[in-house]
Amino acid sequence: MNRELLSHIIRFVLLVIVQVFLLNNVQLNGMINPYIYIYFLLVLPVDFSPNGGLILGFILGFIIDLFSQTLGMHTIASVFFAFGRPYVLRYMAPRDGYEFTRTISIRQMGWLWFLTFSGLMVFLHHFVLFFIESFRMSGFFFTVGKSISNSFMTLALIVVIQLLFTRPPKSSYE
Amino acid sequence: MRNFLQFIWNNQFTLLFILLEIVGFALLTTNNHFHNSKIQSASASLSGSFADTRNSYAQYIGLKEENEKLLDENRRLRERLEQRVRYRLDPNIPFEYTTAHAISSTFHLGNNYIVLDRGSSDGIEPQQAVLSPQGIVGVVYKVSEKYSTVLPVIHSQSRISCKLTRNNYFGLLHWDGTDDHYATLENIPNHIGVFDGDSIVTRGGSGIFPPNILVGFAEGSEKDEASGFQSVNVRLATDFRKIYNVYIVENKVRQEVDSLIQTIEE
Repeated sequence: MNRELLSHIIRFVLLVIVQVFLLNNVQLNGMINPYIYIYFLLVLPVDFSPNGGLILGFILGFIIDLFSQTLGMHTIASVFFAFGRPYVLRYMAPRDGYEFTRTISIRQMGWLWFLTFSGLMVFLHHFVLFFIESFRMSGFFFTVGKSISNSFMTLALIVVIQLLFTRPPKSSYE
Repeated sequence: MRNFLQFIWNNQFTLLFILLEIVGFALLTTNNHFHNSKIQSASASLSGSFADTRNSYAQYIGLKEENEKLLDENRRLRERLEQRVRYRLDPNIPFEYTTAHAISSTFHLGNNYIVLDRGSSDGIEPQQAVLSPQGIVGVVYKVSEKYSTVLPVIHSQSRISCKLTRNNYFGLLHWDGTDDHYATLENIPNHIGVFDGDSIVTRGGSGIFPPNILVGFAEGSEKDEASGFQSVNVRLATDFRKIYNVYIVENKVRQEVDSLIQTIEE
Protein backbone atom coordinates (compact mmCIF):
# COMPACT_ATOMS: atom_id res chain seq x y z
CA MET A 1 0.00 0.00 0.00
CA ASN A 2 1.03 3.52 -0.69
CA ARG A 3 2.91 4.90 2.31
CA GLU A 4 1.33 8.32 2.12
CA LEU A 5 -2.20 6.89 1.91
CA LEU A 6 -1.49 4.74 4.94
CA SER A 7 -0.29 7.71 6.96
CA HIS A 8 -3.49 9.62 6.10
CA ILE A 9 -5.64 6.69 7.23
CA ILE A 10 -3.70 6.33 10.50
CA ARG A 11 -3.99 10.07 11.09
CA PHE A 12 -7.76 9.91 10.53
CA VAL A 13 -8.23 7.12 13.08
CA LEU A 14 -5.89 8.64 15.67
CA LEU A 15 -7.48 12.09 15.44
CA VAL A 16 -10.99 10.68 15.87
CA ILE A 17 -9.85 8.70 18.92
CA VAL A 18 -8.06 11.67 20.49
CA GLN A 19 -11.01 13.95 19.82
CA VAL A 20 -13.69 11.62 21.12
CA PHE A 21 -11.96 10.13 24.13
CA LEU A 22 -9.71 12.94 25.24
CA LEU A 23 -10.59 16.39 23.96
CA ASN A 24 -14.38 16.04 24.20
CA ASN A 25 -13.77 15.62 27.92
CA VAL A 26 -11.42 18.57 28.31
CA GLN A 27 -13.21 21.77 29.08
CA LEU A 28 -11.14 24.62 30.34
CA ASN A 29 -13.34 27.11 32.08
CA GLY A 30 -16.42 25.77 30.28
CA MET A 31 -15.57 27.87 27.26
CA ILE A 32 -12.63 26.23 25.60
CA ASN A 33 -12.85 22.89 23.89
CA PRO A 34 -10.40 22.34 21.02
CA TYR A 35 -11.58 20.47 17.92
CA ILE A 36 -8.38 18.96 16.63
CA TYR A 37 -9.97 16.38 14.31
CA ILE A 38 -10.10 19.07 11.65
CA TYR A 39 -6.30 18.72 11.31
CA PHE A 40 -6.94 15.70 9.07
CA LEU A 41 -8.70 17.82 6.45
CA LEU A 42 -6.21 20.64 6.88
CA VAL A 43 -3.16 18.65 5.79
CA LEU A 44 -4.68 16.69 2.91
CA PRO A 45 -2.39 16.95 -0.15
CA VAL A 46 -2.67 20.24 -2.03
CA ASP A 47 -3.75 18.51 -5.24
CA PHE A 48 -6.30 16.27 -3.52
CA SER A 49 -9.64 16.19 -5.39
CA PRO A 50 -12.00 18.86 -3.96
CA ASN A 51 -14.96 16.48 -4.32
CA GLY A 52 -13.06 13.83 -2.41
CA GLY A 53 -12.31 16.43 0.25
CA LEU A 54 -16.02 17.20 0.64
CA ILE A 55 -16.88 13.53 1.03
CA LEU A 56 -14.06 12.95 3.53
CA GLY A 57 -15.24 16.05 5.43
CA PHE A 58 -18.74 14.62 5.54
CA ILE A 59 -17.57 11.22 6.79
CA LEU A 60 -15.26 12.73 9.40
CA GLY A 61 -17.88 15.16 10.71
CA PHE A 62 -20.49 12.43 10.79
CA ILE A 63 -18.28 10.10 12.83
CA ILE A 64 -17.45 12.84 15.32
CA ASP A 65 -21.18 13.65 15.54
CA LEU A 66 -22.06 10.03 16.24
CA PHE A 67 -19.71 9.89 19.18
CA SER A 68 -20.57 13.26 20.67
CA GLN A 69 -24.37 13.22 20.33
CA THR A 70 -24.49 16.32 18.19
CA LEU A 71 -25.91 14.86 14.98
CA GLY A 72 -25.44 17.28 12.10
CA MET A 73 -23.34 19.98 13.79
CA HIS A 74 -19.83 18.71 13.07
CA THR A 75 -21.00 17.33 9.70
CA ILE A 76 -22.11 20.78 8.54
CA ALA A 77 -18.99 22.48 9.89
CA SER A 78 -16.48 20.06 8.36
CA VAL A 79 -18.22 19.94 4.98
CA PHE A 80 -18.07 23.72 5.03
CA PHE A 81 -14.38 23.50 5.92
CA ALA A 82 -13.72 21.16 2.98
CA PHE A 83 -15.64 23.51 0.68
CA GLY A 84 -13.64 26.57 1.70
CA ARG A 85 -10.24 24.85 1.63
CA PRO A 86 -9.57 24.82 -2.17
CA TYR A 87 -10.54 28.51 -2.42
CA VAL A 88 -8.26 29.54 0.45
CA LEU A 89 -5.47 27.40 -1.02
CA ARG A 90 -5.86 29.06 -4.43
CA TYR A 91 -5.98 32.51 -2.84
CA MET A 92 -2.85 31.87 -0.78
CA ALA A 93 -0.87 30.12 -3.53
CA PRO A 94 2.84 31.04 -3.53
CA ARG A 95 4.13 32.90 -6.58
CA ASP A 96 5.50 29.77 -8.21
CA GLY A 97 2.48 27.64 -7.31
CA TYR A 98 2.49 24.49 -5.21
CA GLU A 99 4.67 22.61 -7.66
CA PHE A 100 7.43 21.60 -5.28
CA THR A 101 5.36 21.33 -2.14
CA ARG A 102 2.52 18.87 -2.21
CA THR A 103 2.13 18.51 1.51
CA ILE A 104 1.06 21.22 3.91
CA SER A 105 3.42 21.58 6.84
CA ILE A 106 5.41 24.20 8.68
CA ARG A 107 8.66 22.84 7.28
CA GLN A 108 7.45 22.94 3.69
CA MET A 109 5.52 26.20 3.70
CA GLY A 110 7.13 28.24 6.46
CA TRP A 111 5.68 29.48 9.75
CA LEU A 112 3.91 32.56 8.47
CA TRP A 113 2.12 30.83 5.62
CA PHE A 114 1.17 27.83 7.72
CA LEU A 115 -0.16 29.86 10.66
CA THR A 116 -2.18 32.16 8.39
CA PHE A 117 -3.65 29.25 6.47
CA SER A 118 -4.48 27.11 9.50
CA GLY A 119 -5.70 30.06 11.55
CA LEU A 120 -8.09 31.13 8.82
CA MET A 121 -9.39 27.63 8.16
CA VAL A 122 -9.75 26.72 11.84
CA PHE A 123 -11.64 29.92 12.60
CA LEU A 124 -13.93 29.27 9.63
CA HIS A 125 -14.73 25.80 10.94
CA HIS A 126 -15.17 26.85 14.57
CA PHE A 127 -17.37 29.81 13.68
CA VAL A 128 -19.72 27.65 11.58
CA LEU A 129 -19.75 25.05 14.34
CA PHE A 130 -20.60 27.42 17.19
CA PHE A 131 -23.06 29.34 15.07
CA ILE A 132 -24.94 26.14 14.20
CA GLU A 133 -24.79 25.19 17.86
CA SER A 134 -26.37 28.40 19.13
CA PHE A 135 -28.61 28.71 16.06
CA ARG A 136 -29.54 32.33 16.59
CA MET A 137 -28.29 35.85 16.02
CA SER A 138 -28.75 37.21 19.55
CA GLY A 139 -25.49 35.94 21.02
CA PHE A 140 -23.54 36.78 17.89
CA PHE A 141 -20.51 38.38 19.54
CA PHE A 142 -20.45 35.71 22.21
CA THR A 143 -20.27 33.14 19.41
CA VAL A 144 -17.48 35.06 17.65
CA GLY A 145 -15.52 35.33 20.90
CA LYS A 146 -15.99 31.64 21.60
CA SER A 147 -14.82 30.80 18.07
CA ILE A 148 -11.70 32.95 18.41
CA SER A 149 -10.67 31.60 21.82
CA ASN A 150 -11.23 28.02 20.69
CA SER A 151 -9.40 28.62 17.41
CA PHE A 152 -6.27 29.66 19.31
CA MET A 153 -6.47 26.50 21.38
CA THR A 154 -6.91 24.26 18.33
CA LEU A 155 -4.18 26.13 16.46
CA ALA A 156 -1.76 25.61 19.34
CA LEU A 157 -2.47 21.88 19.25
CA ILE A 158 -1.98 21.81 15.48
CA VAL A 159 1.44 23.42 15.86
CA VAL A 160 2.36 20.89 18.56
CA ILE A 161 1.34 18.01 16.27
CA GLN A 162 3.32 19.55 13.42
CA LEU A 163 6.46 19.88 15.49
CA LEU A 164 6.17 16.40 16.96
CA PHE A 165 5.13 14.32 14.00
CA THR A 166 6.41 15.80 10.76
CA ARG A 167 9.79 14.67 9.57
CA PRO A 168 12.28 17.24 8.37
CA PRO A 169 12.74 17.37 4.55
CA LYS A 170 14.72 14.45 3.14
CA SER A 171 17.77 16.53 2.29
CA SER A 172 18.72 16.88 5.93
CA TYR A 173 19.25 13.11 6.19
CA GLU A 174 21.83 13.12 3.47
CA MET B 1 -30.63 18.29 -21.67
CA ARG B 2 -27.02 18.32 -22.79
CA ASN B 3 -26.60 21.82 -21.43
CA PHE B 4 -28.16 20.74 -18.16
CA LEU B 5 -25.76 17.83 -17.78
CA GLN B 6 -22.92 20.11 -18.75
CA PHE B 7 -24.03 22.57 -16.06
CA ILE B 8 -24.04 19.82 -13.43
CA TRP B 9 -20.63 18.62 -14.55
CA ASN B 10 -19.14 22.12 -14.47
CA ASN B 11 -20.51 22.89 -11.01
CA GLN B 12 -20.10 19.46 -9.46
CA PHE B 13 -18.03 20.79 -6.57
CA THR B 14 -20.58 23.40 -5.48
CA LEU B 15 -23.52 21.05 -6.05
CA LEU B 16 -21.89 18.28 -4.04
CA PHE B 17 -21.22 20.81 -1.28
CA ILE B 18 -24.86 21.91 -1.25
CA LEU B 19 -26.08 18.29 -1.29
CA LEU B 20 -23.87 17.30 1.66
CA GLU B 21 -24.88 20.40 3.65
CA ILE B 22 -28.55 19.58 3.04
CA VAL B 23 -27.92 16.09 4.43
CA GLY B 24 -26.15 17.70 7.40
CA PHE B 25 -29.05 20.06 8.13
CA ALA B 26 -31.50 17.21 7.69
CA LEU B 27 -29.57 15.29 10.36
CA LEU B 28 -29.56 18.34 12.59
CA THR B 29 -33.28 19.07 12.35
CA THR B 30 -34.48 15.48 12.34
CA ASN B 31 -32.51 14.95 15.46
CA ASN B 32 -34.31 17.84 17.14
CA HIS B 33 -37.87 17.07 16.15
CA PHE B 34 -38.56 13.38 15.84
CA HIS B 35 -38.16 11.76 19.19
CA ASN B 36 -38.07 8.24 17.86
CA SER B 37 -35.46 8.72 15.17
CA LYS B 38 -33.54 5.48 14.98
CA ILE B 39 -30.19 7.01 14.19
CA GLN B 40 -30.37 9.03 17.39
CA SER B 41 -30.93 6.05 19.62
CA ALA B 42 -28.22 4.16 17.74
CA SER B 43 -25.94 7.10 18.44
CA ALA B 44 -27.02 7.08 22.08
CA SER B 45 -26.19 3.43 22.55
CA LEU B 46 -22.92 3.74 20.61
CA SER B 47 -21.59 6.72 22.52
CA GLY B 48 -23.09 5.20 25.66
CA SER B 49 -21.19 1.95 25.42
CA PHE B 50 -17.95 3.76 24.59
CA ALA B 51 -18.39 6.15 27.49
CA ASP B 52 -19.13 3.16 29.68
CA THR B 53 -15.75 1.56 29.02
CA ARG B 54 -13.99 4.87 29.48
CA ASN B 55 -15.81 5.46 32.75
CA SER B 56 -14.96 2.08 34.18
CA TYR B 57 -11.34 3.23 34.15
CA ALA B 58 -11.84 6.85 35.12
CA GLN B 59 -14.57 6.20 37.67
CA TYR B 60 -12.85 6.16 40.97
CA ILE B 61 -10.80 9.29 40.72
CA GLY B 62 -13.70 11.23 42.19
CA LEU B 63 -14.78 8.44 44.49
CA LYS B 64 -13.99 10.14 47.75
CA GLU B 65 -15.93 13.27 47.00
CA GLU B 66 -18.83 11.24 45.60
CA ASN B 67 -18.92 9.26 48.85
CA GLU B 68 -19.09 12.40 50.92
CA LYS B 69 -22.04 13.61 48.91
CA LEU B 70 -23.84 10.29 49.26
CA LEU B 71 -23.23 10.28 53.00
CA ASP B 72 -24.63 13.76 53.22
CA GLU B 73 -27.67 12.74 51.25
CA ASN B 74 -28.20 9.66 53.37
CA ARG B 75 -28.19 11.87 56.41
CA ARG B 76 -30.83 14.14 54.97
CA LEU B 77 -32.97 11.20 53.91
CA ARG B 78 -32.84 9.75 57.36
CA GLU B 79 -33.95 13.03 58.79
CA ARG B 80 -36.89 13.09 56.46
CA LEU B 81 -37.74 9.50 57.26
CA GLU B 82 -37.84 10.39 60.90
CA GLN B 83 -40.13 13.30 60.22
CA ARG B 84 -42.36 11.02 58.20
CA VAL B 85 -42.65 8.54 61.03
CA ARG B 86 -43.23 11.30 63.53
CA TYR B 87 -46.01 13.03 61.64
CA ARG B 88 -47.51 9.88 60.10
CA LEU B 89 -47.60 11.21 56.58
CA ASP B 90 -49.29 9.33 53.78
CA PRO B 91 -47.06 6.32 53.00
CA ASN B 92 -48.44 5.92 49.46
CA ILE B 93 -46.16 8.38 47.73
CA PRO B 94 -46.53 8.05 43.96
CA PHE B 95 -42.84 8.57 43.14
CA GLU B 96 -40.51 5.68 42.45
CA TYR B 97 -36.74 6.23 42.41
CA THR B 98 -34.16 4.42 40.26
CA THR B 99 -30.44 5.04 40.70
CA ALA B 100 -28.31 5.71 37.63
CA HIS B 101 -24.89 7.04 36.66
CA ALA B 102 -24.13 9.84 34.25
CA ILE B 103 -21.60 8.11 32.04
CA SER B 104 -21.18 10.99 29.64
CA SER B 105 -22.18 14.62 29.90
CA THR B 106 -21.40 18.11 28.65
CA PHE B 107 -21.78 21.56 30.18
CA HIS B 108 -19.94 23.81 27.74
CA LEU B 109 -22.32 23.60 24.78
CA GLY B 110 -25.36 25.72 24.03
CA ASN B 111 -27.44 22.56 24.16
CA ASN B 112 -25.95 20.15 26.66
CA TYR B 113 -26.86 16.54 27.20
CA ILE B 114 -26.23 13.75 29.68
CA VAL B 115 -26.15 10.02 28.96
CA LEU B 116 -27.29 7.66 31.73
CA ASP B 117 -26.55 3.97 32.02
CA ARG B 118 -30.21 2.99 32.45
CA GLY B 119 -32.62 2.37 29.61
CA SER B 120 -35.97 0.90 28.65
CA SER B 121 -34.96 -2.47 30.10
CA ASP B 122 -34.78 -0.79 33.53
CA GLY B 123 -38.22 0.73 33.06
CA ILE B 124 -36.98 4.17 32.05
CA GLU B 125 -39.27 6.17 29.78
CA PRO B 126 -39.01 9.63 28.25
CA GLN B 127 -40.43 12.45 30.40
CA GLN B 128 -39.19 11.10 33.72
CA ALA B 129 -37.42 13.42 36.12
CA VAL B 130 -33.68 13.16 36.83
CA LEU B 131 -32.29 14.37 40.17
CA SER B 132 -28.81 14.56 41.62
CA PRO B 133 -27.95 14.46 45.33
CA GLN B 134 -27.76 18.27 45.23
CA GLY B 135 -30.88 19.12 43.25
CA ILE B 136 -32.62 18.72 39.94
CA VAL B 137 -30.79 17.69 36.78
CA GLY B 138 -33.31 17.45 33.95
CA VAL B 139 -35.82 15.28 32.14
CA VAL B 140 -35.26 11.97 30.31
CA TYR B 141 -35.38 12.69 26.61
CA LYS B 142 -34.63 9.56 24.62
CA VAL B 143 -34.28 5.95 25.66
CA SER B 144 -32.50 3.00 24.10
CA GLU B 145 -32.42 -0.46 25.57
CA LYS B 146 -29.60 0.11 28.05
CA TYR B 147 -29.01 3.86 27.92
CA SER B 148 -30.98 7.04 28.02
CA THR B 149 -30.26 10.68 27.26
CA VAL B 150 -31.29 13.56 29.49
CA LEU B 151 -32.36 17.05 28.53
CA PRO B 152 -30.69 18.88 31.44
CA VAL B 153 -31.63 22.25 32.93
CA ILE B 154 -28.66 23.66 30.99
CA HIS B 155 -30.27 23.07 27.58
CA SER B 156 -31.91 25.89 25.65
CA GLN B 157 -35.13 23.87 25.27
CA SER B 158 -35.47 23.15 28.98
CA ARG B 159 -38.53 24.66 30.73
CA ILE B 160 -39.24 23.70 34.33
CA SER B 161 -41.99 24.99 36.56
CA CYS B 162 -40.47 26.26 39.82
CA LYS B 163 -41.53 28.27 42.83
CA LEU B 164 -40.00 30.44 45.53
CA THR B 165 -40.13 28.68 48.88
CA ARG B 166 -40.52 32.02 50.69
CA ASN B 167 -43.94 32.81 49.27
CA ASN B 168 -44.91 30.06 46.80
CA TYR B 169 -44.96 32.35 43.78
CA PHE B 170 -44.16 30.22 40.74
CA GLY B 171 -42.59 30.77 37.31
CA LEU B 172 -40.77 29.02 34.50
CA LEU B 173 -37.06 28.22 34.78
CA HIS B 174 -35.05 28.37 31.59
CA TRP B 175 -31.39 28.64 30.59
CA ASP B 176 -29.87 31.29 28.32
CA GLY B 177 -27.01 29.16 27.02
CA THR B 178 -24.01 30.95 28.55
CA ASP B 179 -23.09 29.96 32.12
CA ASP B 180 -23.76 26.44 33.34
CA HIS B 181 -23.99 27.64 36.96
CA TYR B 182 -26.91 30.02 36.43
CA ALA B 183 -30.43 29.82 35.04
CA THR B 184 -33.31 32.32 34.95
CA LEU B 185 -36.70 32.13 36.63
CA GLU B 186 -39.28 34.13 34.65
CA ASN B 187 -42.79 35.42 35.36
CA ILE B 188 -42.40 36.47 39.00
CA PRO B 189 -44.50 39.63 39.54
CA ASN B 190 -42.50 42.80 40.17
CA HIS B 191 -44.00 43.53 43.58
CA ILE B 192 -42.74 40.23 45.03
CA GLY B 193 -39.60 40.78 47.06
CA VAL B 194 -36.87 38.36 46.01
CA PHE B 195 -33.79 38.30 48.22
CA ASP B 196 -30.38 36.84 47.52
CA GLY B 197 -30.18 33.31 48.84
CA ASP B 198 -33.92 32.62 48.61
CA SER B 199 -34.27 28.96 47.74
CA ILE B 200 -36.13 27.91 44.63
CA VAL B 201 -37.74 24.48 44.42
CA THR B 202 -39.74 22.51 41.88
CA ARG B 203 -43.45 23.11 41.84
CA GLY B 204 -44.37 19.61 40.75
CA GLY B 205 -46.99 21.10 38.47
CA SER B 206 -46.09 19.24 35.31
CA GLY B 207 -46.27 15.87 37.00
CA ILE B 208 -42.68 15.14 36.00
CA PHE B 209 -40.77 16.40 39.03
CA PRO B 210 -41.76 15.66 42.58
CA PRO B 211 -42.65 18.92 44.35
CA ASN B 212 -40.19 20.75 46.65
CA ILE B 213 -36.94 19.44 45.15
CA LEU B 214 -34.17 22.01 45.42
CA VAL B 215 -33.35 23.83 42.16
CA GLY B 216 -31.09 26.62 43.30
CA PHE B 217 -30.77 29.95 45.08
CA ALA B 218 -31.73 33.44 43.96
CA GLU B 219 -28.89 35.81 43.17
CA GLY B 220 -30.39 39.12 42.17
CA SER B 221 -33.30 39.81 39.86
CA GLU B 222 -34.11 42.13 36.97
CA LYS B 223 -37.43 43.95 37.02
CA ASP B 224 -39.09 44.67 33.69
CA GLU B 225 -41.39 47.67 34.22
CA ALA B 226 -43.10 47.17 30.85
CA SER B 227 -44.37 43.65 31.48
CA GLY B 228 -44.67 43.91 35.26
CA PHE B 229 -42.65 40.76 35.73
CA GLN B 230 -39.14 40.25 37.00
CA SER B 231 -36.69 37.55 36.02
CA VAL B 232 -34.71 36.04 38.88
CA ASN B 233 -31.11 34.95 38.41
CA VAL B 234 -30.83 31.46 39.91
CA ARG B 235 -27.59 29.85 41.02
CA LEU B 236 -28.19 26.16 40.27
CA ALA B 237 -27.71 23.74 43.17
CA THR B 238 -26.48 20.96 40.89
CA ASP B 239 -22.91 21.21 39.65
CA PHE B 240 -23.18 19.94 36.07
CA ARG B 241 -19.39 19.77 35.81
CA LYS B 242 -19.09 16.81 38.13
CA ILE B 243 -22.37 15.03 37.87
CA TYR B 244 -22.21 11.28 38.36
CA ASN B 245 -24.71 9.66 40.73
CA VAL B 246 -28.29 10.52 39.82
CA TYR B 247 -31.83 9.30 40.47
CA ILE B 248 -34.50 8.80 37.85
CA VAL B 249 -37.96 9.47 39.24
CA GLU B 250 -41.11 7.95 37.88
CA ASN B 251 -44.41 9.51 38.82
CA LYS B 252 -46.86 6.65 38.86
CA VAL B 253 -49.94 8.86 38.83
CA ARG B 254 -48.81 11.22 36.08
CA GLN B 255 -51.17 9.70 33.51
CA GLU B 256 -54.06 10.22 35.88
CA VAL B 257 -53.19 13.88 36.49
CA ASP B 258 -52.60 14.46 32.77
CA SER B 259 -55.97 13.06 31.74
CA LEU B 260 -57.66 15.11 34.45
CA ILE B 261 -56.02 18.31 33.16
CA GLN B 262 -57.07 17.42 29.63
CA THR B 263 -60.72 17.25 30.62
CA ILE B 264 -60.42 20.85 31.85
CA GLU B 265 -58.85 22.03 28.62
CA GLU B 266 -61.58 20.38 26.57
